[in-house]
Amino acid sequence: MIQFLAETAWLVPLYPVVGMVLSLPWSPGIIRRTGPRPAGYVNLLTTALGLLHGVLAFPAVWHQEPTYLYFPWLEVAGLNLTIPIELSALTIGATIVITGLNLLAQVYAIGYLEMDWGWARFFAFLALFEAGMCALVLCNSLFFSYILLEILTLGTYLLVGFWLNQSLVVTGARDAFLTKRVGDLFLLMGVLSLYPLAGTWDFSQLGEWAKTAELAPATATLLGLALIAGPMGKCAQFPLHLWLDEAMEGPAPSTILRNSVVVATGAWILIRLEPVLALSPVALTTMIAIGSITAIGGSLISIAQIDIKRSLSYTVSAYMGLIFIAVGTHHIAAALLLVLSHALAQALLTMSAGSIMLNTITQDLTQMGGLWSRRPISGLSFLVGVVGLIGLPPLGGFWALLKLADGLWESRPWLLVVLLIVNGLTAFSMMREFGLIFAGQTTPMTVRSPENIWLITLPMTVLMGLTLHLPLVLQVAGLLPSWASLDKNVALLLLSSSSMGCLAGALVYVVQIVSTPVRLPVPAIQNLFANDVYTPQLYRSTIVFGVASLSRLANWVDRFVIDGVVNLVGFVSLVSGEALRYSTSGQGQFYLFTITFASIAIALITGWTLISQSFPIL
Amino acid sequence: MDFTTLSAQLNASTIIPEGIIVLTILVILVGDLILGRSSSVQWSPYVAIAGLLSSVASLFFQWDVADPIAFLGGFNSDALSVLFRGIIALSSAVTVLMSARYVEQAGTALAEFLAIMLTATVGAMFLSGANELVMIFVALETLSISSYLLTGYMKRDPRSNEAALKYLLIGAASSAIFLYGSSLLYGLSSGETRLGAIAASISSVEDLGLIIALVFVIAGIAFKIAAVPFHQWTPDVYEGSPTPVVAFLSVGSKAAGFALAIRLLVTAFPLVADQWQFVLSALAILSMVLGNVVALAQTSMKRMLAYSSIGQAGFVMIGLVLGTEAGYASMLFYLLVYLFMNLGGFTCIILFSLNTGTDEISEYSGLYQKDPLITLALSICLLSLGGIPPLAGFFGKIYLFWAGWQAGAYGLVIIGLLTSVVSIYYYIRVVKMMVVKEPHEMSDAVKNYPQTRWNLPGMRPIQVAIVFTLVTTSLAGILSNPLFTLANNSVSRTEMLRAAIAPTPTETVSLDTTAQ
Repeated sequence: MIQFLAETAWLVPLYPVVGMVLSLPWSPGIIRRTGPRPAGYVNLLTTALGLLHGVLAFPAVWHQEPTYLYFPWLEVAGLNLTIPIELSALTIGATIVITGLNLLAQVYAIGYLEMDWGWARFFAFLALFEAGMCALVLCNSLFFSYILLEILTLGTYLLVGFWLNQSLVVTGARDAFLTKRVGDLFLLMGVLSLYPLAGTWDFSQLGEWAKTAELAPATATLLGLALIAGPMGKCAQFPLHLWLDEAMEGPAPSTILRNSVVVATGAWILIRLEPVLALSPVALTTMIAIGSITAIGGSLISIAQIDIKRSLSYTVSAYMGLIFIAVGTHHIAAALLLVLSHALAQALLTMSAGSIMLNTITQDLTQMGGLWSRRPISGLSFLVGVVGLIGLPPLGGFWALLKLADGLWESRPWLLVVLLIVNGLTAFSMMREFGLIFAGQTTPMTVRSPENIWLITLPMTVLMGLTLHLPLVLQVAGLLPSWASLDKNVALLLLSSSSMGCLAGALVYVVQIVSTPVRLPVPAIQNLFANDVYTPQLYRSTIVFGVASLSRLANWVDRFVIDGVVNLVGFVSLVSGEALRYSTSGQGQFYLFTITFASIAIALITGWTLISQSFPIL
Repeated sequence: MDFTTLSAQLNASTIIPEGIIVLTILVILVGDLILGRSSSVQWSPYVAIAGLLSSVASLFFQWDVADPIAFLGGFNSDALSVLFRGIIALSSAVTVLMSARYVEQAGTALAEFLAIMLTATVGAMFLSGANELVMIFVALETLSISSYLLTGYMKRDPRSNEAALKYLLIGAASSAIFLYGSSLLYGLSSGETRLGAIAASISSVEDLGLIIALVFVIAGIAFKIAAVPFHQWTPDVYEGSPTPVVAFLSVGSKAAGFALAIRLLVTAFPLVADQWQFVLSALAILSMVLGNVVALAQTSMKRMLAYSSIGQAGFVMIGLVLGTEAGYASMLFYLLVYLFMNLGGFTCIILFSLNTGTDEISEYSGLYQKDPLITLALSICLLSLGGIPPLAGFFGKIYLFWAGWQAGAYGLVIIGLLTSVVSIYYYIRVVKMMVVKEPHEMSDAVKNYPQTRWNLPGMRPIQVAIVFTLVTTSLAGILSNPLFTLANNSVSRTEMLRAAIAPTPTETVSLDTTAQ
């Protein structure tokens, strides 16, 4: 039975698709009598089925070699498109994480969107997201992964734009879509240019190929840069990071998924492509540089934000930067561990933040405070999330960061410094957020802010439990780095950076030994980070300016050259159409004449050589 | 010759599908006599559809017969003819679905209509497998005479009468030309009527008689598939005929014409292959250009689809003249998807004209507010005809053009691409008319649009036809692999094509993602 479930694990992405289709009848105007709620319950059920399937199948693939399935899609005249699926502990484990978080987020959404009218739409979008992600982790082909990434880009657009009558939401959705498309466009170039070189798009075969491949350095560099551009957009890395900030306009339940697993899809592709990227030292260095800049910049910007969700979103960028560093230095296992621990902790933080926002009616950190006594469960969840995220033992984040730090210690010590700084800054930023929300005096906004209904609180506490138990699960699975082989100094360094960050954050924002809001001596620096390092201006002066100039030029060419030609062709077609329609006069004898005439003419033309031989006079 | 050898040589089991349809005709005629005309609308369409579908089912068992030659070489039931007969029977089935209500509302007898329609189907199916000159002519005339009758079936409508008379006169003339060509062929081969034997006994290429026979035969075929310049009857006949008949003429009858073209030209004229490919290329170019350009200027939906079907036949002819395996397969595939999208379009037009009584394109404006189903189905079918991805027509066109490009027919492919751009214009014009118009721009017909009453007799079949063609047209593109395999297998299993396809090594583009 378990074997059967393992062999059919490729069905997991199809459950949410079924849920998506089944919620169609509840879209506006078809089923009115029941209200939109059944659509949500149907999707909850299908997601639960997907999770159950994955969990039951998992023991069969644990410690087994990966198996590969092939689904022929299109075979015609030498064109052969086959969808390859990889079933292994890694991929099925990933589907469990995705469906599990989705299930929690959907329960959360039932509570969060209680008053909303667009249930069918929202849950269908969530299901699309879930299906895309599950298919992405199971898919073993770069080409189909690219297609799925595009579907996810579309999903982001739809979900961010869920509350479509608010102008900020519309621009946020648009920017998220366009920014990711910029990355995807480069990725597509990479995907297409990889095929003639490697002859395959299967990740496993690409790995084999990369071992022996000999590419010209320039080719390898261009290829590597194109391939990391896609994940850069997905993972919100500098300079394509702004969309994540704007995407925070979307509803909180979808933000839970976006912050935890959706951005990680870019990291997933990056990890699968690591053997190919390793062909180019320049690409690796670029990855490390981008990762470092984003990690440090993101954690600094996060400290300067006053929006509860935006502050979290920059932490996400920072952690994805750490994953870029990990992949760039070939620490795949550490990268995967970091993805997992970050996913759980970040989802928990976002759930807690959403739960605060819902009853406080504001996202502004400066208007909050003193919620600890009123919201103990949310507060505890937030704290567990913080500890699970940063390098504090014994929770998951510590082990992931420790594994990475241990590897960096020997090869590139200065990256270890980056890691410690990011960890410390994140600890500070998280404690700042915690302090601003929960500590201090109550404000007018927080006076009436009780805990939410169980539909919101329950998934949050369940996820808190999962985050707390992650180290145990990892230990049972044998994924924790063994303590004996680790460098104790590194662990100590990590621990001290975390505790210093926490301590500083706690002193400033929880105990409030200095007056808040803190004013830096140089306001320019504060403004720099508060304004996202002026990235909007950067966009405006580079890519937007470039595209705008190009489109003005194209517009001119279009209007005066292309349009002229097209209009001419269209005019000629229409006029000749009008003229030729009168060739059909309606007179039968004329038709007969045409047939006879055409037959003779064709015979003459075809047999001309023979005729001219028979009658030499002609 | 004893009885067993005779029955083995007759091999009569190959025409079971046609037999089933003949039986259905008898059942409908006799049942109509006994039960009376008023009740026949209740049951006769369903009997006809059951007969056609079981005919398609029995074709399924013909797919893999060991000995396809039947009736002493008169009939050939190879994979190619099986697929063509399937296309014809299926198109006839969809036509029956859409015709029940139409004929009933026009106040004419339904059972007779169905009987003539099925006779035309039988003729077309025999034509697809006919392997001998006399058989070809008899089948061709069965199809043609039934078509004349169908065209004039609305006998109180003068336009229908005019169409029938024109069709009859011009059809008779072109049949005569065709017969002249066949008789020349008979004489040149010193008295052979079987196509294979004709080719074997003609040895000299340098013969003006053979060229004239070829051109006259092509003239007959081109009349049937409405290729320019043998097309002029099409718009008049299409405009005057009952719309279901137009649907059948544009799909079933055309498919039969293409089946005849492949079999006759490939088997009987291998010596002048270059010439017939040249002539048909010229006809294809003319059809694509003229059909699509003149369609731009039409104001009646039926006339527009008439010209569009001329253009579509031009596209299909690209596959015919290539002479490669991919060429024939792409042509079959295109005919398969053309069946669904064209018949889907016609079904919507019928429903619209049943509800409003008009076929003018301008009367469709603002329809989406009154009838979303027609708007959706007609839009999808027209966009598919125009070749917009990811609909079925796009895949059909791309396969045709790809096959053409592989075979080096660059001129044809480029003209095909350009004219399909032109075609998108007039297809989208209708879609725009239905979808984009504001409520105050609604046409009078749409303003007074009645609520569609699906419970009237004969309305359910129309609904079934619309939904069926809509679903197939939307999905047959993305999930086209079974259809591709069907078309390819049918070509590769057919003896005569295997012999005719030049053994030139075609370079295949490999995009094999599972290269092990």
